[in-house]
Amino acid sequence: MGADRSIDTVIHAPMRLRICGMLRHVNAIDFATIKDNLGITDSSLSKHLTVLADAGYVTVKKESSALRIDARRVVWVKLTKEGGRAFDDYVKALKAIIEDDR
Amino acid sequence: MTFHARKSYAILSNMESKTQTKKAEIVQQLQVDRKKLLNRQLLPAWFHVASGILAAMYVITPILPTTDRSTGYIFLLVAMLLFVYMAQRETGVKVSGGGAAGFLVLLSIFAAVTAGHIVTLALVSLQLSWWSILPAAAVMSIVITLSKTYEKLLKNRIANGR
Repeated sequence: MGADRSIDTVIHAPMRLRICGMLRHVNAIDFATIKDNLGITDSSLSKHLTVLADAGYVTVKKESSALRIDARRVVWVKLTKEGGRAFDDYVKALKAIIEDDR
Repeated sequence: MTFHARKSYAILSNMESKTQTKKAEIVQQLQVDRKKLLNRQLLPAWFHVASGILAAMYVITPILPTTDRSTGYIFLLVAMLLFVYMAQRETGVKVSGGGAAGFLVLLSIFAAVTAGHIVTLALVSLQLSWWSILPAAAVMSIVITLSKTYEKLLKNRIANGR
């Protein structure tokens, strides 16, 4: 479908839409918390975040964790203004279609 | 509707792969995710108590000798920042401001702590230092209550989509 090529494919993927949906209402969420909420694997979430970050929709900030005994990093994911706008537009369009078809 | 939203509307409405049910399911799933986030604690229970204790400690600082007060203030400030940091790490969520209502709650906390501090200063000047335990206890309970109220406000904002 020709029209499909112009759609925001970044946010069109359901999992990436859900990630943006979670981030939309807070300042930032830890990688592990997003993973738990979505019930997906680390690698899958990493891939989705890479796509979102490449599109400029999220920022990923790693912080060293002195509080964790294994000294692993804590990764904070934050939605950018552009990402917020893209999410709002997508959901608005989706809701309008649902309403129109009723 | 913005230009991008209109464009998405036109494309999505023509898509054959996504049935009407699927579109509704996606919107529903977003609400489920939001509820999951709401079921998590945005601020851990210990954070409210710790904030109350720190506020009470600030209220009773006038009983310390004048030379030790600035050390006490720095200690309390560092402790508060550390608690915020630890709370964020524990919950895995960094919350944004609570809007006008949230600002009012924070302002009330500030007013209660300042009032308690002033009362203690007055008690110390009247050489009634032991009585400062009363404003400290009052401020502690006020701060714990307001801290919980602030968390509720944050949750309401998430529930209502800000």
